[in-house]
Amino acid sequence: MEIAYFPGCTLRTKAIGFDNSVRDTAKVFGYDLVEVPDWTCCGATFNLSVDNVMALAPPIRILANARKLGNEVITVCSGCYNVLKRANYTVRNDSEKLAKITDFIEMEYDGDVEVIHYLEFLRDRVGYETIKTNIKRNLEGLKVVPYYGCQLLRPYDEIQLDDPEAPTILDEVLDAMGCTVVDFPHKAECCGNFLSVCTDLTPEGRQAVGEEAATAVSECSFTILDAAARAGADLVALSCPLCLYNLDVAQDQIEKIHFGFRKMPIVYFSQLLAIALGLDTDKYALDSEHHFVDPSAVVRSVAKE
Amino acid sequence: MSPVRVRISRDKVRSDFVRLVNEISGQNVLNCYQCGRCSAGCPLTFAMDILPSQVIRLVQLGLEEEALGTNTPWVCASCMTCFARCPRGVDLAKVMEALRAIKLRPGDADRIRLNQFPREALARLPQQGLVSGLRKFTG
Amino acid sequence: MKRIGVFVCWCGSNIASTVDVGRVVEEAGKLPGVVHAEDYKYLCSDPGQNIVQKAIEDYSLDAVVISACTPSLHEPTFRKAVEMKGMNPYQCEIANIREQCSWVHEDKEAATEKAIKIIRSIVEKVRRNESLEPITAPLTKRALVIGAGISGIQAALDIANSGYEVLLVEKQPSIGGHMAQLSETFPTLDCSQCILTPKMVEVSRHPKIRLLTYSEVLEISGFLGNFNVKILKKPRYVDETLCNSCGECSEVCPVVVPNEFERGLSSRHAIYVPFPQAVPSVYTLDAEACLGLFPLACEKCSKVCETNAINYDMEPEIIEETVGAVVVATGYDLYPIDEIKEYGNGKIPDVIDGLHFERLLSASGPTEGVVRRPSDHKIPKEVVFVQCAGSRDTERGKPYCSKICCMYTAKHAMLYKHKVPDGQAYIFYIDVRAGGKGYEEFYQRGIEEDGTVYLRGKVSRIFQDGDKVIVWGSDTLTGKKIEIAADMVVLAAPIVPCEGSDDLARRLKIQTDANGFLSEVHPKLRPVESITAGFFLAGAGQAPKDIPEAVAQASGAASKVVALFANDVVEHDPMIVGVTEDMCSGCGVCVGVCPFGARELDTERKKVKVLEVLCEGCGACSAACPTGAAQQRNLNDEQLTSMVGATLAEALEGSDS
Repeated sequence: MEIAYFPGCTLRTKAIGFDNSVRDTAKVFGYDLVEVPDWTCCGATFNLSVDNVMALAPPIRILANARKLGNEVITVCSGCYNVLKRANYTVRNDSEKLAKITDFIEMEYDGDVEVIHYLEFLRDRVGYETIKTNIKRNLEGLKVVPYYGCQLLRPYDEIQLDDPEAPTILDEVLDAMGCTVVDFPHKAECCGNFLSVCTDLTPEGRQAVGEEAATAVSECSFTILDAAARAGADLVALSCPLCLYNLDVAQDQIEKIHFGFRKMPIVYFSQLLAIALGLDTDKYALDSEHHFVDPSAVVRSVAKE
Repeated sequence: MSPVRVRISRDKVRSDFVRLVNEISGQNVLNCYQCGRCSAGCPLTFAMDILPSQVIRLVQLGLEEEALGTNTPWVCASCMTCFARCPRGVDLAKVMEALRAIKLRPGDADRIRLNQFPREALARLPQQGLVSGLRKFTG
Repeated sequence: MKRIGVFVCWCGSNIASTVDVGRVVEEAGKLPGVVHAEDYKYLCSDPGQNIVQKAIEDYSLDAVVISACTPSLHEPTFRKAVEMKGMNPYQCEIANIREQCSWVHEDKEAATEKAIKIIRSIVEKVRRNESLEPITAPLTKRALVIGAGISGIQAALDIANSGYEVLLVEKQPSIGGHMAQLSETFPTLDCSQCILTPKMVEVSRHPKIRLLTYSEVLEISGFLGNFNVKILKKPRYVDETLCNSCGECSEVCPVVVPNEFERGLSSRHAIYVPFPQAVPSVYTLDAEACLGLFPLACEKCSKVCETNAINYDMEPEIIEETVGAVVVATGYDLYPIDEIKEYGNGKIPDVIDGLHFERLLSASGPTEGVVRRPSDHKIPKEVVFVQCAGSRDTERGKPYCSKICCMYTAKHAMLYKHKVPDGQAYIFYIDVRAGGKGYEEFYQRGIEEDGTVYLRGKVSRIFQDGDKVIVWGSDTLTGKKIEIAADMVVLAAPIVPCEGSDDLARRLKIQTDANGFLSEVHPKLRPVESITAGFFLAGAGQAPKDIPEAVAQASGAASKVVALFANDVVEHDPMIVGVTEDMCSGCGVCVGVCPFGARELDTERKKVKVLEVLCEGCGACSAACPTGAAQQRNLNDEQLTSMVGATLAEALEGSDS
């Protein structure tokens, strides 16, 4: 069965392992993810100025294109999911804005495309039982903390994927694929989001944004990773390329500041799913080229058979 | 140096600045009763000059210069934790966005310039981070 | 034709600044039937009323129109004034030219025209008013009190001590309510049970009080002065007259379930008394917890009972009674803390609510007054109290202030410090509301003498970390985000109406507000009366309140009941909707729309009959009646038509031409 799919910019480049693992695992369950025609960047972050209608044009254009394939579209990057879902919510509740945008992009759209996260798809469409019956590799003992971050959960009224204070969907999916899911208190704490752009600036750039902003991501990430390590986790599973980047890259800096910090690989949940389903582990960029903390050792430890 | 006293008046409390913040954010800053819960849950206070709740307080009082002079809106990561728990339904992330917009919109006030990224940083940053970061820090 | 007097009030500048009173008087004087018109600065004053009374004599008036404020304020004043001059009070009507005119308009000329129209329409009405006499009905001088917490107990005692019979109904096995669970009470720190139990004993021994515990009111029908009450007495499977509360039954009972009175901090058996001072001092067999009654599975309790008090065949009993008035004292519950996800979802054992903590402080509680935390029974050394844990939250909690938490939290911190001298109490707050006699002093004492640390900020998140409970708050006074690694956290959860009280309110046909609390007629001047006549309100079921307030309101409700019982009959407003039998087709539409059950269809005669004392004159039937047989007294179709005609006179003339 074919279903519209919006990968987003990062998945076609930096997060290629995320993209491939989503497409291939969906295929195992009998679904062909068909790319939305003529797609562009969604804007990467939902614009929070309510008077800025222009920022809604890219996501609505994507949804209007998705409409050509049906009335639902799957996406998996938490950032894209957040932007598409909130843009859709906005135009569904503001016909004036909708008219302005459709007029501008010269396309028809009336808000009738459902934006579905791949986690949601696994839960509601594929079903945990189907996941379990397709397991080929035993991931038991692989201690994983589920990390949701912000974009997947908030604001609840607009996203409505899961309880923003006590989410479970990623826990359940990881559990269904056979991982040992480790509970920890910071599943929905922020990793620093786009503030990572302040980290990598030239000295004068850093000065302009301020040293506090420049170090924000590593501090935020430390809170999360420290709690994960103390909970006994081997790795973190998530669904957002920016979260992955922040938690992953920050570890270099954290190691320098916090004595005894133990590095921990960060992976996409779908990469683990691909392993569990017995797919070729080499296809999903689980390597030092795509991850700063190399996950390959952990992957090899479970992907033996 | 900060002034000996901060004078407030109806010209400030009812200023265009307050109206503009409300208009861009779609919020009514007077709904905030200053419980401080946003600050209590904010993951980035350590990098902020003043607490998020203090920023909205400055806006409530119409203290434009003070509100726009702190780094707090620039450190806000729009993570929405504040809004998720605000007992008064104030979307503080939108208020922060409005303060950034007021600074950026007139132009020539970009907080970050593309030429300040070393080449390897541009190669390393995920598009998602680069695009959203530039959208937050440039006009 | 009736001789009508029109009196126009200035209400100081309230009316006179927007309405040209002089012109209104001039125009009113020209209206049909009006023989006299005059104005006065404050008609409601004594001199003002004298003017009206004197005019009645001087001009031999048959009817009076007072053009002033809303009838809900001064209609009784003027009706009483005209009655003193021998006029039937229902010949006095109010034309509201303040709330409906001067207050809502600015254009003086237009407002003056409108005032004239309002008066013209009321003159047309009063021309056709009948003289009415109040409807009277007999009065049963027995009261029903629902709920036997401190409010219900106080109301019952006050009514009974005035010499009237009281039926006191409590759904729990014992009376006492939440006050029986409290340790010590602010601001004097007297032991709650010590001051409550004498009253409980007084109730149980009072010859005028019939106590029905483990019972619920199913239904109330009838009207003020004559209510028929149906009460379900649940089977407690223990004969109250035989049980000597020796407790042997409980000792042999093999079942262990959480003890509700101890808020689950300890357990009880299936056959139990909630607490040692329970009234009545009788064991109750919890049928749901018991291993089995149908068929009998264990029978251990009955085997050891020396007085043969245990009766497994006991049936639920329906008790029917007639009462003249009802006091509703249904009380409160705490909002469940497992609904507050960011505070641990109810899953962190050492995050508890205020009533839990009362039990931990109580000498008769599960820890015998030693403060031990639930998880490992250690004495907590760092205790965080969180105020407004769900209150004052328009988004996910309750929008209102729960009122008592500031004070009980201050008390909790103080008592904790007395019991754990090397411990530290922290209170996160938004505002401290200590408006009560001795309250501010009490709150300050906690800070000065017991070192309670107040932190001004609402807690954002609470989570478990090892054996600590981490609290993320803020101190807006210093501008710092605060973290405390606590041993225990006490949440001041919102006060909500007692579970099942909305259901009861529906059965009683009394009103509740948006938050489910019982509604009073007027928030300031009639705070203990329900909107439905004959029902009075007491205690936290009406709004969150502390013990002194609950007791005061209970005494207020009791005095209302006693004042009612001082009459020999009840009087009912005669402005009811009757039936013009010639026009009634017996269709019964009005019977269905009447919210008060005041209309009955006589199927044989095919006519509708009105139970006059039940009719509240709402007019639903008269709107629904297809033939016009249902006519409201002094607001019949002819009057309404003439009033509309008078209001629209100019427009109607225009359309004719």
